Amino acid sequence: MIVADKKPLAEVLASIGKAGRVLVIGCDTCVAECAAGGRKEVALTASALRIALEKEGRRVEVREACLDRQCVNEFLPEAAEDMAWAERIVSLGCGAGVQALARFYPESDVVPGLNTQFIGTTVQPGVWVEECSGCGDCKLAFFGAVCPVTRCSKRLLNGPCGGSKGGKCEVSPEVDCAWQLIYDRLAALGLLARLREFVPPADWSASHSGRPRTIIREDRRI
Amino acid sequence: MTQTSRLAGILAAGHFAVTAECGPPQGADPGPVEEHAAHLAGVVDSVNVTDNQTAVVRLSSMASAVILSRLGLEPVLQMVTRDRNRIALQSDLLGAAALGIRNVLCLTGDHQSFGNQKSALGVFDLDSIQLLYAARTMSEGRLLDGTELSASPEYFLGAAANPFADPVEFRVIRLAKKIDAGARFIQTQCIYNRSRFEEWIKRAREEGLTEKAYILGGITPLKSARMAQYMKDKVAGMDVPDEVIDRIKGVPAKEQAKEGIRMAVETIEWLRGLEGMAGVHIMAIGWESKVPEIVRAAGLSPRPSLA
Amino acid sequence: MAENELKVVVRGCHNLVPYRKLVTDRQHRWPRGVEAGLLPCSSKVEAHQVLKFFEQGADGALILACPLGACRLVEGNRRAAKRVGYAAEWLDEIGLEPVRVRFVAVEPDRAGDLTELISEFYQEIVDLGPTPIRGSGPGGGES
Repeated sequence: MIVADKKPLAEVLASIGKAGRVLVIGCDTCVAECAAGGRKEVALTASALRIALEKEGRRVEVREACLDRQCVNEFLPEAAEDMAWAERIVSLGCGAGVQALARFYPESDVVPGLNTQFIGTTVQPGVWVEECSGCGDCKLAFFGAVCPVTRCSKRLLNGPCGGSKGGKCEVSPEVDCAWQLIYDRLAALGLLARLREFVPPADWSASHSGRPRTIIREDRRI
Repeated sequence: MTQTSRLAGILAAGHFAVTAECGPPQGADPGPVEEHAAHLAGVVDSVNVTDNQTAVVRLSSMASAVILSRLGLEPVLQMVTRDRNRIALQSDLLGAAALGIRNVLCLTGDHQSFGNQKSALGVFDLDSIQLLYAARTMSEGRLLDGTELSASPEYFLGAAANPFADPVEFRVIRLAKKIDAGARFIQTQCIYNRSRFEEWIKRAREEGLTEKAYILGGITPLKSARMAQYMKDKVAGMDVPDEVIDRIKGVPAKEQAKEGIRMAVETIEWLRGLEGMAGVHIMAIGWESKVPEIVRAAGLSPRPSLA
Repeated sequence: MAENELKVVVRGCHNLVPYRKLVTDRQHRWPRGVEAGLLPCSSKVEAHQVLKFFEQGADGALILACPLGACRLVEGNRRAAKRVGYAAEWLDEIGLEPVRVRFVAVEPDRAGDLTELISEFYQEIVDLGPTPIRGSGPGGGES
């Protein structure tokens, strides 16, 4: 899912500025799973804002809401009343959710409450790891389902580099070396010979580097 | 554009080659490059110029290589893929050839988080093996996409190898990949762990790789016990055995630099006797003044001339 | 501000028997301003609830549970400790002293004088003084 984490409160307060009616609106899908933007986090953020604003001596009303999803228009009308009431809206959705909400309510001033980080998995409660960078040209079949584009700090396709030590990346001992993971996985599958083959340069035009992407499926358009 | 590589010539003639390294300054004054050159002129066969090593911004390797050339030294242009995409890399490769630079060492480069521009985007459009492939393809007259070049460059291509990194079992396969992609000479990470290095070169011999490429063993003389400890603990991809630390620690602080040089010379002598080794690459960054002494003590002076 | 205007919230797991006895004892006199309640499990308390206490004017919040390893629900107290820690981080970010919220796994040797433990915490809050939040603002809440 999309993994995000909370912005520092000071940034959110700065975004709220002089607004007197603030809506904190969350999303019950990805950001709820990564404990950043679901109902509990909406409650936390709203309480924190009320306390912080009262400390500043400001009279600000803070409302709370949560949508099933912020990234699909069908779920957005439900928030209409709160959106109209608020002077400023702090969305705890991911970057896509924030933008979808703002686009659906073009007269509302929507600001983000989270920093969207990556596409990843919950490896255990409280631990989320980046897995996919949406390169648009999935090579997982070649690498035993471990992505070197995302999980190697240098995106090597013919890795590892000389900095791999004890299964960890030179960048940080907290980061697994993707190429050790690839090596171990292919070794377990008896497919190590694959790593002898030259992997040619990637086609980045399929990735975000090419352009902001749109997918249209005519068979799905009403 | 008919300049040939002296380094390639020395190696082809069967001499034990000696290469050294030069780190450009963090400033616009070419003076430091010229000073390093002064120590190394006539002492070694070629001088590597590093490319923003450890992601610290320095005078560019290309400019430094040209400065060295003008002073009569033969440069080895190091090129990392961290900072430039394939457009810039292929363009710079053409530029190098046009400036008479033949020796190119293709590297991925240390991650940008090590350097002084930590917010920089790490480009990594290509990796070191793809860069070798690109340079080799260009020497055959084409760019990566197949476009024909108006004039083909010539290169003596090199790559780095780290026998001490993980996964250990994979290191020789990676060496083979680099050679397949176009590497004709290899410079290894600096050697302190001799037994581990011996295993690696033995495997390389078994795979026939020492017949396909010239392998130069890396040597970095230790200045002090503290430097040795630092390299053991803090530098990625380095293997410094305890015996090495103990040896230099066992000597009074004032004598440690001399001991470090003695140890470097011994390692070079050992390398000369190791089957499959074609030369030595002395990385004495910040200590270039000691290179002549090391080369002489190892019995590698004067450097042979090419007919 | 007089100390009797302070508000301290106490919550404890109902499996912590001495605490449950205190809370259900109609004769027991709590220090003025202490509001004590029971939790079905200590981990029921989450960061957003702790913040709600402070939003509504609490000056301190004390969460009580059994010693680690002795949780009848196995992990409740461990989770509670982490959640209280998280709440403390939020308090810090808001600019309130993180020590205003405390989790205590009550050791058997202190169970006997829980009242003293609670009074000690209460006194620490007295020393810190009240927060600037009175909980009387427009608030808002779930609509």
